Amino acid sequence: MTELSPDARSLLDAGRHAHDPPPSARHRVRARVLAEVAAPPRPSLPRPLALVALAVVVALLAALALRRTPAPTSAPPVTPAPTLAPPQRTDAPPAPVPTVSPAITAVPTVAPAPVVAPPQRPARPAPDRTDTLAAELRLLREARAQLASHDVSGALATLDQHARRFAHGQLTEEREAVRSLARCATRPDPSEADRFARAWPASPSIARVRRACTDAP
Amino acid sequence: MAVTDASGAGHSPRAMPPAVSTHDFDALYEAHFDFVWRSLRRLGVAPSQLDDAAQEVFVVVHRRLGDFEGRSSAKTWLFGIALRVAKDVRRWNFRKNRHEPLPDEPLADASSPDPHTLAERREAARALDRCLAAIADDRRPVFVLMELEGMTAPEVSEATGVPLNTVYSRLRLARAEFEREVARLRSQHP
Repeated sequence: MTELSPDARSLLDAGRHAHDPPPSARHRVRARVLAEVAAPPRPSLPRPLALVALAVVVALLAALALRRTPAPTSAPPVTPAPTLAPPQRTDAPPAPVPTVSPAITAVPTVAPAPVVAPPQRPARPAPDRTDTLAAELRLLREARAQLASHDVSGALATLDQHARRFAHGQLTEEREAVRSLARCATRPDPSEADRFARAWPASPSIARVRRACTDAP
Repeated sequence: MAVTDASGAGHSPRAMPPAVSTHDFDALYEAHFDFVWRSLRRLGVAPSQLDDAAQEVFVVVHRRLGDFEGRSSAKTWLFGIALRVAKDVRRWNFRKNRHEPLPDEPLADASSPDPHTLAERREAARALDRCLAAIADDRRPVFVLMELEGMTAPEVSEATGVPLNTVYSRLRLARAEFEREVARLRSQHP
């Protein structure tokens, strides 16, 4: 096989360490990884499959709701088939199987009043912290990409969207760091860096924000 | 440019670290964080997206550590994950119409080397980026692993899931693409 030329080899040698991470990256990424894995795992379905799964769950829940409507008087008691239960994540504790109270079937022809025998509802799933984090990450990734392509107003709009959706999110500090970077991208403003440092005195992003807010062209 | 690489890779193209004997996440992270970061970058992940991509790799690692039985080396396993994450990031960029490489962000931070070293490294990174980008997507992983990380062809076959003969043919083609771009670069900056 043809070997590389000395020129190519020299370029490879010169660039061998060019892509090493900055020293702070190791700590920064590790903290983010541990924050994410501390939350319950989410299903690792590809996004299109996840959407299909969501649609199936919605359809099944709708079917369950229809089944809870009053049955004809002559109809036997309605018991949802086990297969109609919404699919459960294998790693989540089993949710109670929705059942229709026998009291419903005892009520004659009129529609069952909820006060008489409200059907048991499946427990509302607790908000998935990991899913929330994934959504937060998507928004921040978007904002960073916009900033990298000099779309400062787009980045700020995305950050505002994050702030609205996740007022007390897990990545609030990162959002505010990107916001400061965005503000300083158009006009260096050391007071912006001071504001960020006061708000987040332990943030690993302080140095980066300071550079952006003092050195930006 | 004497940056210590905990994985041991990169100092010598043919020096391979021993396979990780423990599946402990911390050990794996410490030993191979640099390798994962470099690999993502060399697979075309933009600097502004590296934090997210590296996080995604190690979240997967954390969750699948139990599946890693040590039959392959930790590096080939990690690279397989990094490869999928990098593809996902590229697809995301494509969907967002980001066909051009995103601009570099500063590499420096508070504890970085001196400005001269940084400038040299940035220049070397730029030149290498350009030449790596000239290699077709399906060949670049082979080239990166063999020429920059010093892996053997069987290891690359394992990391990428590509048959051994295909690894060799991709390496040959990738070298030719890389050489062409190096020559172009030299002609522009003699």
